[in-house]
Amino acid sequence: METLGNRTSNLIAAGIALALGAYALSQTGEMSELGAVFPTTAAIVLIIAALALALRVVLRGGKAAEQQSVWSGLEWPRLVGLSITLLAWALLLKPLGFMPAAALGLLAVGVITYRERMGLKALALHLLAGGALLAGFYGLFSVVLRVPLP
Amino acid sequence: MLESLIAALSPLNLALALCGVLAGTIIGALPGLSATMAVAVLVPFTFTMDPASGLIALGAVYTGAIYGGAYAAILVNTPGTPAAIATAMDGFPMAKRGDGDLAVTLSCLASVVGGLVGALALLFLAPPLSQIALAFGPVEYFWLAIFGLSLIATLSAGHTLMGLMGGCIGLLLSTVGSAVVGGDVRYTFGQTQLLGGIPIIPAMIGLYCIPVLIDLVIRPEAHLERRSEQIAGFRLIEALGAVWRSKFNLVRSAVIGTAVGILPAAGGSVAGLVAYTEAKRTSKDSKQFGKGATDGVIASEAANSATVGGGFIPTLVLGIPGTPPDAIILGALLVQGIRTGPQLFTQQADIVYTFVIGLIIATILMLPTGLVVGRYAFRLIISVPKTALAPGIALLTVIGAYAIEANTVHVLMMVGLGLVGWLLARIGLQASPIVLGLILGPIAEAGFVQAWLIGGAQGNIPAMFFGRPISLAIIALTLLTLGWPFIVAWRARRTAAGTT
Repeated sequence: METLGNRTSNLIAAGIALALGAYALSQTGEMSELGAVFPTTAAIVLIIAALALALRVVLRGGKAAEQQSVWSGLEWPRLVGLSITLLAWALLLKPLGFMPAAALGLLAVGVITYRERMGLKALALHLLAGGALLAGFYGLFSVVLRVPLP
Repeated sequence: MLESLIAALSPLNLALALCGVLAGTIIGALPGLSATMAVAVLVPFTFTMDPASGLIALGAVYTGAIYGGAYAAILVNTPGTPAAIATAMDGFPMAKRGDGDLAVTLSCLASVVGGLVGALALLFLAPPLSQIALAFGPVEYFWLAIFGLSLIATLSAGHTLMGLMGGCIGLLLSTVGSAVVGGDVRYTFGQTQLLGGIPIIPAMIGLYCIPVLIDLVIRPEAHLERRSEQIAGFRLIEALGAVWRSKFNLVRSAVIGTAVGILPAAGGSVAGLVAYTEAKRTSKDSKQFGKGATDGVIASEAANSATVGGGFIPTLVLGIPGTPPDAIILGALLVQGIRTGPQLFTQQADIVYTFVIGLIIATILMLPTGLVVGRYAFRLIISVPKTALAPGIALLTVIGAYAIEANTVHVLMMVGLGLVGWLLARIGLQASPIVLGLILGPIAEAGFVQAWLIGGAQGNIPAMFFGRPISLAIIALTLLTLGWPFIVAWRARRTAAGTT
């Protein structure tokens, strides 16, 4: 028998898959016959699998003793902070340039990850290591590998 | 061949092989950072190299990462890579009883032998297989891609519906942009950046690395458990004796690993578990398995390392990735302008043979690297705090996604797919089936559409899809693969019933 935690996750997965499949299927009308064959097949299989999963969850029922949810124990502020940092890093790469964007990104990810109290020496060591890492990668990609960094 | 040997022994290629094995061992030693991730984050370094050198570097990273996974498996009971799952079963009990040093040396020796068997299979089996592959038409490639997709059943054992849904999501993602045949513009939301489709490498970096980064940041516990086991020495003579006594197990496991590696998408974890099970089944002292049997460590490590060479066979011969890291290497080859397939062994034989010989050299270099440097690398990594590790991984993912085409949009796609991938993983939709769908989608679609058109022109579409001997053989293999989890479950039930 499935636990309620699994049930919720499975139902969410089935719902997402169902919505995605329905959207993909709805768009195939604008495609040529051959161009639509593959997305249509994938969408239909996705919808069938989602319905089968949902049906299985409903038929099997749920165990009263809830297993620890996959969402528990997460530190949501850090998750949101990291997501925003990564998205901002990607968006700022072009306008700011590689080095400033990466420096800000590294600093932000470091701050978001930070938990234990850190002395001045440790902080300086972290900053130094971050700077060396950044300079090393910049030199490697820009100078050695000649990748045109923004 | 001689020219390839000379090229592989050039100082640059030797240095790349050594550095690759070293980097792979270090990354592989970190639990959560798999061989796939090791290859994914280091792949941009190879873009400006010549193809053979790039391949040697990636092959060396892959080989090193698979071996590196054994460190954490043995010393902290946490497989550094999924391929080391079976290693932990006996490696950790060995460490607990004070034989951690012996287990590490054993895993190194077994990995080298396994890796060599896989690489030699690549050297000698791939060319004749490429001749067979020349008989492949669009319909065979279509069925082969379907066969690859059917391995989702193996990847998702126990969660087949989730795996199927993940595969379909990957297939749908692969249809974004211009259609491979016909040029239909699909699912681009009017964005010109999406016309070229979802780029494979940024997608894989996102789907595999960002979830690891997120879990590293949002969880308060230490990324590695510290234990008091200390590595006392090499115990090389003792390990060599154990390996010699286990020579049949060693060779059998290496052959199993090579064979499993050849099967698209079945990676080191499957190989390690199959070889471990087989070693336990045939052992005279099977009760020792799980309590620190040296044969268990040897079987797992020989098999998972052999998948490296074995996995390159379908990757190079057919363009179908044998293992998830092969999928990334396949993407890197495409970026380099190398078209994998049967012709690769005739038209670009110098590149292929230089790479294969380079892989053999890298595997041999794994012996000193694994024994001397790798063990200290683990101690170093365990002491790196999260506040330093997480920003480093973030930088690697950003630069990795950007460097392929110097495109900032790819970084955005990588981050977006990574965040979505993390969410999907939380609800049970794992990355591997999605990636498999993304990689195999275009092959399956192009094969299907071309076969449909040819069949239509010949006036018999069913005969085109179901009337060719190679196609029928692949269909039979596909059905066997789909049924395999049920066969395994049935056998397990029978065994359980027999023991009670």
